[in-house]
Amino acid sequence: MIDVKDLSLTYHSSGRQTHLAVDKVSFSVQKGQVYTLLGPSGCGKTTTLRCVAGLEKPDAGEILIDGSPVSSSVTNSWVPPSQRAIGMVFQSYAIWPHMSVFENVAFPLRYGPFKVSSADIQTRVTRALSQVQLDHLKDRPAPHLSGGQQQRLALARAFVMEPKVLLLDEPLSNLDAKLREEMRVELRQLIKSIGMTAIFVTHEQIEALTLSDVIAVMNNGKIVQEGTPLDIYQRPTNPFVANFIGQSNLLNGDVVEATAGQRAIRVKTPLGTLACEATQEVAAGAKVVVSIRPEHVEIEKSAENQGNALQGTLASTSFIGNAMDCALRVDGQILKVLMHAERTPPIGSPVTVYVSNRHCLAMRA
Amino acid sequence: MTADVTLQRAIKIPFMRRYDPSALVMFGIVFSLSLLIIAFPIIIFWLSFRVGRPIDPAATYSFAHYIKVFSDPFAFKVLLNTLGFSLTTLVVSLSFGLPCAWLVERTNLPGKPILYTLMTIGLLLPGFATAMGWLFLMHPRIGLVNAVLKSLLGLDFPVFNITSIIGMGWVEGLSLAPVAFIMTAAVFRAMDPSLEESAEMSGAPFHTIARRVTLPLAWPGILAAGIYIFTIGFAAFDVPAIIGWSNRIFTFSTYMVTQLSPDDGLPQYGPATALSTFVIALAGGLSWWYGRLQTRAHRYQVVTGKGYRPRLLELGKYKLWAWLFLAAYFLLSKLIPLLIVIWASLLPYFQPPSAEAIAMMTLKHFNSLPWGLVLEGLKNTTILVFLTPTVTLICAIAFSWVVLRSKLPGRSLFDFVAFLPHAIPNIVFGIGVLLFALYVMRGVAPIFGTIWILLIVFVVGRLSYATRMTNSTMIQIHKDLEESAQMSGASTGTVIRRVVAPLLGPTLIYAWLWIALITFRELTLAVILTTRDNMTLPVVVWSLWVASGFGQAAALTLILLVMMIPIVCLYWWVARKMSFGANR
Repeated sequence: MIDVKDLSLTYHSSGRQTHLAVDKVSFSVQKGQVYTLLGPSGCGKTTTLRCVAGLEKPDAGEILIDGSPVSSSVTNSWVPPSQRAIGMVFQSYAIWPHMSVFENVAFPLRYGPFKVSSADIQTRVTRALSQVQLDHLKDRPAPHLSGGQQQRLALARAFVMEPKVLLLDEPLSNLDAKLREEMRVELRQLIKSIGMTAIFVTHEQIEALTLSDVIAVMNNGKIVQEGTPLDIYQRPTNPFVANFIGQSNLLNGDVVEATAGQRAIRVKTPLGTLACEATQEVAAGAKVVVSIRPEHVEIEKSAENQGNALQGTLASTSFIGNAMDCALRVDGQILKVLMHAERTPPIGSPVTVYVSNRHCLAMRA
Repeated sequence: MTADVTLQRAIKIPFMRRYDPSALVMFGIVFSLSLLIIAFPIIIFWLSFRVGRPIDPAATYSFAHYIKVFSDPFAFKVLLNTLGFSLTTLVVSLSFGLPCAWLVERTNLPGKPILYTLMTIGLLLPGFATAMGWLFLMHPRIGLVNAVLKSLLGLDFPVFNITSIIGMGWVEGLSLAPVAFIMTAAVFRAMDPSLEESAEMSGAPFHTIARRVTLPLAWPGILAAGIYIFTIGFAAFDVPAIIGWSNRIFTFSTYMVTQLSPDDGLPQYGPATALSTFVIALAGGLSWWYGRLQTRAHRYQVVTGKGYRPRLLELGKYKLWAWLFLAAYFLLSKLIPLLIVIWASLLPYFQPPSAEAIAMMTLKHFNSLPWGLVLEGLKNTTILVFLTPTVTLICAIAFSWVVLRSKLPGRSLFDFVAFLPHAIPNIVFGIGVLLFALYVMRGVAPIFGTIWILLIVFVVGRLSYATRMTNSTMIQIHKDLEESAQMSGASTGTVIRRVVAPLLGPTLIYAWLWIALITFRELTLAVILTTRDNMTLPVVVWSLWVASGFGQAAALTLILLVMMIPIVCLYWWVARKMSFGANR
């Protein structure tokens, strides 16, 4: 449905300074998918989205919607944003304060590329508003809505013209924490029920994991890993991703044992030699980074985790509600460990912890 | 569904172009107006070196005009006069405006909103009206005050002489005090009060804080206001024209008019352009200094975005003195001159109030006004009062959009161009338009002697103010509001009409009324460009005055002021409604 090929955009800020915001980014979004661009601020995710919208003009690359190019430096064509028939929800919602709720939603039908009769406008706006449960507020001036209502209004306005593509730029970031949690689920249900293809931009990993079919993690203008939420979380192939999604202990190491065609390798790290699983093919002697998630460090020995046993002392603890966030000192190194609050030994006690091989992920440094 | 159809018939344009027709229209407006604005000083510069008839191919280039002007003792005298006049103006306006601003922003003075409104509306009172009043009041021979003092004290010489550089500076300074007030009030308002409070906590007494903290911090802003007032004073026409002209005391602008339309002989464009070039250079230098002061003001970081509520000084028993000071200002600058103008308009010839004078009162000046000319002037003025603000604001929206919203390389240059009419005295633009009409547009469109030439120069003259207003409001409109309209499929034109303009609405109404009022009373620019066929109402007043019809001029001034009242009331109402501008 959406194909982005070798998209590049450089910002020229004041003086001669340039900043490569998007660096040869390529990805495809299948029909009906929710595709998420996830990354820290300044990673180029919003710029990429704005290129798809047509609000930024890329320096090079091609963007195809449904097979036809809307922006292409190859065929030298450009479709202005107003002609792309894309729905977009802005971070600020961009609700027009001088119009009523109804008028806000009717705007794309009145002034957009589709010619819609006024009777149709009436029915379609009403239907869109009822889909986001705002039909009872349609005559209210738009500024008189709460944050959550404004967010739903922005959504209704974005899909009222039944675009094939919906773009969402951090739509949940202006909501308070409780509402954000509710809207996460609601938003996905809504997009799925309308059956739209969506690109979603966020820096919140939980939002990305809950909402998406596919996540692309971006850093420094590049996509560093693409995959399903489960993939991205469980099998990061890149130290940046391992650290950005969830928490990770990242250990630099050298491969000491590796067999061609085998995932199981042994890596010498500051914590000792660990039995690891390689995420890519690596040879003995290669430099790797080993990622261990705090929640995968166990204090009970089992058949699976007995291979990697680490001895240390408990340096500090902090209670975070559902668990105890602990720092274990092993050979002068700190290992973050998540423990059950009631089973946490006192600070200073010697502790032995175990990590199964498949939770010690080795990736190319 | 429908979406499939649309994408296929979507407009495709080359990758390198991204603007739709309405955006191109705005670029067109901005480009052509910018070219005009830059063309005017360039024409002046060009002709200042051209000797002989400008369009004569045999004409040559030399410094002859400059040598002539700067070796002419009279022209030199004019420059000295102008310098003295602008400095007096500066001192007088700051000594009234600065204390007013401090009282309003930093003390618990009651009735601040009224003061704000009176000050703003005070700016609208035409300079020629108050100048007439002061002339009748302190003319060495017929002046009312002088006559009374002479008879009271048995003197044989006048006590006051308004027909002097100091006298004219006094009158101009009084009418520019609101400018000083508005600009310095903004400085006091933006100042972080904790800077003063910490001085207070260190145990410093009030006058030490004022001297050591408040004034040094406000200094860049006050100086900036001073430079602006000096520039206005330098090119002021109304006061030197009404008071100085008949007594052969000329300043820059009145001298220009004598050069451009002398009583005898041909217009002297040579000296006029040479002197204008000098003034452009002077204004350029001052603007550069002004810019540096602004940067320094930012470095001081007294301007902050936070909504401070400074602790206000308790005036206590000084409240009465404060109000007496303010009342004195309004009496001197507005009320007394106006009353004298009314008095003068009702007498067959001017004389001090007495029983016989009251017995002689007559409406003769009103009845004997050249009504044909007045109605013609009224027609022209009315057209301009409607067209000027409308055209100016359309251009200002285009400028703001290009500068703030488009991605045109070098767009900030246009903001600089829009600011030029603020920095360079308007009268110079008047001369530029005149020469432009005479030498460039002559074969293309004969606009000289029509109201269209006035429209052009009025629009150029008000563009700085209008773009400042649209810029500051458009900055506050979140860009997403426009982009979401674009994503909804609206063209740039629709975005401007349906989203930007309605959101700018209150600002546009406010600015429209202000520009309309300024246009209504504008004399300087009109005098330079007026012929028999495009007289505006203020120009009719001026021509009556020059023809020694003082009583008639006073009468017509009153009629003009009365006609302004409804628009002023509307303006006041809008300003209050928005709680914006006139008060905050």
